[in-house]
Amino acid sequence: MITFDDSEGPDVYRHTASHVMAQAVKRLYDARLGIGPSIKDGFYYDFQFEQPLTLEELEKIEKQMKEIVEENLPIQRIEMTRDEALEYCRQHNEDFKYELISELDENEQISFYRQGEFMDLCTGPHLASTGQLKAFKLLSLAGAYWRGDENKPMLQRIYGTAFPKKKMLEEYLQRMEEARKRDHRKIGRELDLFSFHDEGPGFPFYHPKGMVIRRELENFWRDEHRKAGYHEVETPIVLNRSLWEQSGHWDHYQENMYFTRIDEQDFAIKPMNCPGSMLVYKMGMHSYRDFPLRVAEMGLVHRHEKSGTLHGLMRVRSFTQDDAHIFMLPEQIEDEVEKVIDLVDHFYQVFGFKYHVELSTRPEKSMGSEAMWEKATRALETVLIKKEITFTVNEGDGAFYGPKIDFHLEDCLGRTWQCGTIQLDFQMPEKFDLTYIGPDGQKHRPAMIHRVVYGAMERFFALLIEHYAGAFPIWLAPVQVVIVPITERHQEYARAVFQRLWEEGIRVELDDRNEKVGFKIREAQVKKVPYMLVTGDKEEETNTVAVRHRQEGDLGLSALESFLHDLKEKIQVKAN
Amino acid sequence: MTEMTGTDQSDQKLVNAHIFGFGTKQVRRGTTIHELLGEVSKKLQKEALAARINGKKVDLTHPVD
Repeated sequence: MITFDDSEGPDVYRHTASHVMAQAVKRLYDARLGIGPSIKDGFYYDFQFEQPLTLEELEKIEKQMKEIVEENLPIQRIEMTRDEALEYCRQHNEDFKYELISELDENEQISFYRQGEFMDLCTGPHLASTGQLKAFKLLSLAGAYWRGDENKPMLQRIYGTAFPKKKMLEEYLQRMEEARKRDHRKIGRELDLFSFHDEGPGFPFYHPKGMVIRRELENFWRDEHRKAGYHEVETPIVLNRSLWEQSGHWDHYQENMYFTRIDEQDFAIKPMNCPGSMLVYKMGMHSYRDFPLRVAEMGLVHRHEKSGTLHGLMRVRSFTQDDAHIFMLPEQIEDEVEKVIDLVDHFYQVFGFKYHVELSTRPEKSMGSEAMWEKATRALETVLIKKEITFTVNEGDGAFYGPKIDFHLEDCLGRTWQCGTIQLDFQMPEKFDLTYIGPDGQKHRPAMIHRVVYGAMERFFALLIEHYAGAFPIWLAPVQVVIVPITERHQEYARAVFQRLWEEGIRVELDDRNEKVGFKIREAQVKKVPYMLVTGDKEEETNTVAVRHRQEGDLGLSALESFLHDLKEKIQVKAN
Repeated sequence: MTEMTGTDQSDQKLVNAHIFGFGTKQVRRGTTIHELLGEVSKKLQKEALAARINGKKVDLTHPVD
């Protein structure tokens, strides 16, 4: 049996909720039906309304849904031939459904589901009656192009969710409320970290404070990679068509790429860093003694995404990947994978992220021999077992060029995000004819790992914003200290404190506006500045500062040098 | 997830239905899954949203045949 606790249960439950919502809409408005699937945590339905719907009207629809539930209408499956289904849609002016059905095979038996006067094209299954629906809520309204195509009509999409118990719905809504408060787009605006503009949809603009965090993340990344034996390279953003033909991107990835012409030749803006890195490798002769060769690149890539899929910094059209390619002997794979796992673990621990690991194996369409896949997959598995890492196996979900280990971060709301990945790549060394000279003096093909730790910097940044709700740990905070003189006559001492902290590399601001202390402190709290130093007569006389922490509140007087020493230590150890 | 399998019987009016975790039940052909569940477990009947017969997802109104 399929119950709500089974993986497929919520899908059945919420799909019925979407039908009930469509029925309610049809009772209330002149609307044509688009599609209405269940999605993660909820459902939606796309409609074309005669008059655009407003957010306020969702309540009315919800009320109508409750009536339909109370009517406890039996839900029946009805099968039709394609011609009958087309005729039904024609009679009911359901043009979008007509389009979907007309694309199906002529002999296909088509199923509809009926509840009362409402009938909808659907494969099912559904609940037995509308009365089985217990707790639901309509959440939001959005625009969506028919079939995601911007050349097709813009429909209105109503999102909702449904649960078998009221308590489950309430808990979900609470979690969503917390997620809304932490939404990186909202916090990004409030803290002046980044923006998007119509002139560059999907292309983020970093503001000075956002840039501080970005650079700190990069500095940390560079330090740790240097310690781990990586060499950093940078490859061009625009590269000739011939390279993308050689890498296979021209044939297989073209719809996600941007192009330009230079001197009457085709060029593409790189969607991935690998081909550039392959050219760097090929610049020299390599000996087995050079291996493992760890080549890192903080590379800016551009990928075309449909406008409807863009989502703040989480899904953008230009982003920086913290890539690295490790060239090695086949017998070095396990050691190198282990080192990358340690590096990834170290990074995630610094940010306080929990994570789980997935191992993805050979997909149906893949390159390389069975033996090569077997060996590589076993190598990844062996390392995971050796390190006592619990992992799940995604059969057939590897990249076509090799098996992979993915790291899924869990944020403070229990949501998971795939960030780090370690992929064995059999394709690139072949395509670019990469070689090294072995102990036998002959040319051999190196093994290669492709890996990221942060993943996309933009996405990781968004995750951090939501994870910390904007209250970044001191080493990342764009402003670490605000100095608040009590009155105008305390400004000179405040400036001296500012100067001392500035000299020591602290990101400090002096709030010398003619405002009350309480106002300035409240404002610094809203901006989530970790420390506020209040300076008045007593502080000036004793060369101290009155320390206030954004969470811990008033911490009392501290000698300036002592505060500075502690602060630097906290920054140094990346205290949370 | 539990899964139900339908097995045909020589008696044309009866069919054996096996519900994983709940054993086999002989029911009249055409009995809906919802009715069948009611005979097996009221709790399961209340909690079930849909079913699988021989791997295929079906509604609870689907007849066992």
